[in-house]
Amino acid sequence: MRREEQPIEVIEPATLMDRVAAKKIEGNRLVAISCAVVEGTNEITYSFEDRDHRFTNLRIVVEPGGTIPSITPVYWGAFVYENEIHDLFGLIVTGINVDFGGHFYATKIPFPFAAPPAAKAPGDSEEK
Amino acid sequence: MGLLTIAKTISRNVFGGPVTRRYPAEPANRYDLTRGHLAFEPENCRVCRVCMLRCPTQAIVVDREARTWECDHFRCITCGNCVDLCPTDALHLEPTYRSPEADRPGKEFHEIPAPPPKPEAGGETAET
Amino acid sequence: MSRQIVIPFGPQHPVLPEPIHLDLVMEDERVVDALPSIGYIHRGLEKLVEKRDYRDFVYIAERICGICSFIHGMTYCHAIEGIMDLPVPPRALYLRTVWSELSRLHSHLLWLGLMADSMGFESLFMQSWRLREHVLDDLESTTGNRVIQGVCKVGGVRHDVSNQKLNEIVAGLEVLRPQLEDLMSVFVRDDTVRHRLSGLGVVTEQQAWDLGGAGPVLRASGIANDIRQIGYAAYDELDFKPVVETAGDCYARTLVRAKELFTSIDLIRQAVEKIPEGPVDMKVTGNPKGEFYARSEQPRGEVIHYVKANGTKNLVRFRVRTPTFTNIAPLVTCLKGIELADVPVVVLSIDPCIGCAER
Repeated sequence: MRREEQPIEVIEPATLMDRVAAKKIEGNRLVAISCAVVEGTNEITYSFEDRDHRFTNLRIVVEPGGTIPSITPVYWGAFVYENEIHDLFGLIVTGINVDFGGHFYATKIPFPFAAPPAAKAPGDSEEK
Repeated sequence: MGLLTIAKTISRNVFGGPVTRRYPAEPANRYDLTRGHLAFEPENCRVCRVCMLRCPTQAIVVDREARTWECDHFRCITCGNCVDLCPTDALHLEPTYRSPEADRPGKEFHEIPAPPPKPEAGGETAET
Repeated sequence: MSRQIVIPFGPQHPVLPEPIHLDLVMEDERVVDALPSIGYIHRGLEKLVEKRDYRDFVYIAERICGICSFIHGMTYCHAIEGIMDLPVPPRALYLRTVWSELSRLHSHLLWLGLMADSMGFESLFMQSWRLREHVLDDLESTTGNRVIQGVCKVGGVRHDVSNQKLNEIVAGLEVLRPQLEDLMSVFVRDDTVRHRLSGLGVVTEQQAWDLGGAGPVLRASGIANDIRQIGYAAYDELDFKPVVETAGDCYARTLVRAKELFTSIDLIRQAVEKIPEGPVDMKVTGNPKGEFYARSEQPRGEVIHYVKANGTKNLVRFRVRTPTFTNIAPLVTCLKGIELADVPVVVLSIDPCIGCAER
């Protein structure tokens, strides 16, 4: 079984739009935008893949309730991820092309993932 | 397309018999590995509570002091995690399904008998 | 200037296996725009990872979806094994490959049946699902359940399958092959099917790449991208080619999935020929620490399980990005300009698995 290389590069939020545009020019497609709450800060990782299956990631670190620019001017299909990040984590994303204003995911409590993992958030005792 | 093709199709349909299983008149296929429902033998249990701690849906509740074991079969997803982890083989999965119910039934409740005291050790406790 | 009205599509619709809502902005009978709205079956499974032991969570991870459940479980195990760098026994990797391909067979047959049903061709739907029963019998006899297999665990698989049984599976699939070819010939050559599907919902190659299409949506537009080529599980030792069509319409997507049935049968045969002897699981001790992106090819496209762990038995973050979630953008683009009666066919052609998309 081959284990693939997955380089993760941490960048400043101010350089995000330039780096993402550079990835698009190099021919990468956007694979996913993930968000994780780590020690009270949000780490947002943008994953890209090119035509030879090379997988690279760019990561920015944002405070809770912070603001990030939308990458939809570069990748039109990113609106699904950015609406999800807003609806689940409570971060503000400016300039999304299709902005659902918080109604993309209709959850009973707003921003369910925003609480840090150590505290027990109300209403998340989901059993399947 | 002609009379010959349609004649073949008609005779296959008339004389060929049904191509599907006449369920429920013919019972469904069940194999040895089929995970139907959970079965418990109280005489083998030593109240270690591993099944309760590792159940993904928290369907099993074990009370150590009162020596009782109960399982909510409607919550059980028959994953078999408890069967794999039980140290004394007190649990196993049967291949038949339980019958459907109209109302939510009560849980399956067992009292675990205390083990007989060993003569030389002068009475062995059930605690691990 | 015609007036625009908004027609809601879903969440309940006979053609949808799971609920999704689309607001269709219409002018006369043509769709001008479509706004998706999801969240009907968001169960918050990603948050549950903070409360369950990482070894038990595999049973929850595979219940994200019923149709593609084995590959979810396998990708989760692959993610944990990637963080902890576990040497999974090769026989377990081959068995996982065989079960993934059986899972792909049953999912594509299910989808072909639903596609026929969405066009109104119910007898073809019933024939597809009848052939699917053979694959489900194979899955049940080797794993214990028809759809949610529950056979993958961190470090390997839970049950072994004897070589004799594997040979029986291959022989059974060879008996099934001419029936699948018969079925595929209806999809490929029948006039009503071609008339209904050709030229509908076109996604061009550039659109598919930029908007984030995945799986058959990408491959039907001419891009040869198949995540099995990166070589997870036993795929780096097996030989296959991704199935590619160039038209980009619903007919091309149907052809891609129909031809992938035969690729899967070939992969199962190759895996059973090459499977080594040995144990099928290994003892896992300790807790994971680190992060890993596990990527797999589900029947619907590329799925990513991102796992972040900090050395305790509960994970910090588990994120699943499923192919249907990323196919929403090409869907909304290709819905523009088609007639209302064709909307169900186009929505179904991306293979919506909303249970996966929303976790």
